[in-house]
Amino acid sequence: MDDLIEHDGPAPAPVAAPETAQLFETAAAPLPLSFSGSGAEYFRIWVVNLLLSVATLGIYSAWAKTRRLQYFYRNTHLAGASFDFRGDPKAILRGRLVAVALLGAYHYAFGFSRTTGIVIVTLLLLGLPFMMRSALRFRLSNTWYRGLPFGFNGGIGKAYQVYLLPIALVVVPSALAALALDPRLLGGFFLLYLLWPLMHGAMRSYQHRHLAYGDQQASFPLSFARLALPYLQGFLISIALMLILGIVLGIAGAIIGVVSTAGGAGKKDINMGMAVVIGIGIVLFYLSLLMIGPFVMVRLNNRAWSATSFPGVHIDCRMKVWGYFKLQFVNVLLILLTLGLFRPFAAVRTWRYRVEHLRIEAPAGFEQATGAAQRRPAAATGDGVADFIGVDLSW
Amino acid sequence: MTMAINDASFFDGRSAHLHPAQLSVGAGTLTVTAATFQRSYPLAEVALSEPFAAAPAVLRLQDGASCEVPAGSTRDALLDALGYRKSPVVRWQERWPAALFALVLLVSLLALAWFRGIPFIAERIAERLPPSVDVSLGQATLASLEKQGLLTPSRFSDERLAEIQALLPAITPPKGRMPLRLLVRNSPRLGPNALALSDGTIVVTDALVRMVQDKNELTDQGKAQLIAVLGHEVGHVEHRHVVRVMARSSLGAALSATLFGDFSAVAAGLPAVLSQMEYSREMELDADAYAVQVLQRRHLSVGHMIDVLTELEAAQGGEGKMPRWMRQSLGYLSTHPDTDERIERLEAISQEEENAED
Repeated sequence: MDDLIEHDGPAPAPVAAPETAQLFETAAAPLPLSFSGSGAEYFRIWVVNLLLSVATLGIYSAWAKTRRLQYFYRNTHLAGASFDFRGDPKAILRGRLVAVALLGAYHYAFGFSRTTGIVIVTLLLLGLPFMMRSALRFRLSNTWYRGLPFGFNGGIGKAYQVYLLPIALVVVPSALAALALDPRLLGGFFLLYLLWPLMHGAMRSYQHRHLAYGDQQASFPLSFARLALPYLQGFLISIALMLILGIVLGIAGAIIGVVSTAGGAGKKDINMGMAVVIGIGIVLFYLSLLMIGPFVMVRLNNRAWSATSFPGVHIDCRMKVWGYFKLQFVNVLLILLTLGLFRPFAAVRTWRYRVEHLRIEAPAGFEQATGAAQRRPAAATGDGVADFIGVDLSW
Repeated sequence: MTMAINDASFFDGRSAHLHPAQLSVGAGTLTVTAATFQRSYPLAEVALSEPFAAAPAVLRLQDGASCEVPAGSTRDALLDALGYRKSPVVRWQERWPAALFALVLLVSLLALAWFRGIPFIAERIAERLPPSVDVSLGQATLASLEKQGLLTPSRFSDERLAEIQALLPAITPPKGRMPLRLLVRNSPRLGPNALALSDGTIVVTDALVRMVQDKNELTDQGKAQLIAVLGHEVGHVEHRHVVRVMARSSLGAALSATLFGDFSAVAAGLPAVLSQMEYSREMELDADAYAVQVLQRRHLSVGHMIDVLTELEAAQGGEGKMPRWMRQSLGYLSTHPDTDERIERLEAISQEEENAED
């Protein structure tokens, strides 16, 4: 029920219309995306959505979600046209009912018996990759631009390769705990989290590589390992920061020691001085750690989008780490201060930031793309599960 | 009456080409005029979608084509001409006073659900849970307490343990809901305390027994005090408080998860729920009333219960060494309601008893 939880939401699927390349023409200036929504307008939509969702015990949330996506998509403009979401709220509702059932089954699985528990966990492992793929198909085939739908044509086998391990990381540990197996086994399982950057890279490249707009297929030449590179960069930066902080603090400590000894200060004063230096160091260290998350997110997002292109159309994503960090810092602060009422404003701010840092380069213009006019509807089941369990579908 | 706008975009649904177009509405038809073609659609075949303040209106046409009409006064005039009627929800979210009223309604609804709805539904659910749930829940709790090292075997002599076990018939109700079992366990972290588990197991700590002893002897007075404490715990068992509280806190966790999107408590299952549970004020008073009945059935004074509560309060002073949730939830000496309030109520009963004897 992500309408109750206004997360910052998947970036739109703002992909340019493809076109036939016209060689030897002068390159046109990149096309910006723009967003015309406002926090105040969205606040009113959000609060009514929320009330109706709560009052109907969540049933209305499917309609609320449709309206939310329509608000964000239709206010997103590119080259004289807007995006649109045309998903069927009833399909979303069905997806959510399945999601609630799955979550309930997972929650109480081991309460019934070991066997039930193992069966349900196995079913989840086997079912969720398929549903993740359905979620992608549902979302994209209902995203329209210039009268054509986007699409997703990633294969089922590939979906299992990409999603099985991350899903196992979420589902299996609690099952192991419930089975009261050797805790070392559980610890060993958690070691798999070290592979998370590669898993994340694999998921993102699966999502981008199989994008389609009309009958145009996206190309995505980046390997998943290269997509995961920002994690390594983030790790190295945090090590470097630690070293620098250590050296600076060491020097500061030495200076305090020398100066205060020369000045005849007591041992207590020196200890105080050291404590202050160490305190400042710890605060700086945590602040820099806080930056690592947005750093990885922004860099990975920029990489993924900038490597995505359609015939004749190239996407350029240039979000700034510091700008995005400031934005999210203010968002979190104001959401806390307003007891959550700032959420819709924060959602609009984040969306606008993302949209306005995307540009489309189409050297030969936009107007000649053709697309498949008909598309078969995808089952919406996966969308609800993905929303509910909070697996990252944002892109 | 005919109305027309000039700045629309038309998409034929087959290619992504944008056709600048003029739209005109008249005589039950929508006419699209572009540079190279003109098409007409009956108004009944035009699907309109909710217009947002600054977003274009989207007109979906029967043949898979669509039009976008930029925001502005002409857009709204066109929608009027097309016969678009705003739904109640759309009108609601357009106006600030109505939106703020929705906020007020939302807060009241959540408060109502939290304070009335959840307890009500939890009671219904608990009623329907089979007794086997009580048994497996109780066994799981005991196993987890032992695993955490919170409960270790008693240090008392077999003789003393037998003496305590001999109190069991005194507290067992004539037609009990389930067979009772009494365990004495050493637990420095719990201090003087007693716990009721849902399977009818009542755990008394060594420290509690030592507290009611007089010079290492379990006197009649000490026994009466133990009966008061045990009676209270039997009250929790007989009135099925553990399962009821569990149902309530599971539902609470589910509600807050849907609101705040944190499913960790729901997914974590029983342990998380147990750690948050806390008997309600009514349940504690209920158990006290039950203990009073047990005492009265044995012709023992309610004064014993007042004594033991006072001693417990003094012994723990509200800040035992055990974790906060343990002290507050499963423990006999619950801080909720105030021990003072409980003592006051018991004193009123004790007063009545004396008056009755006079």
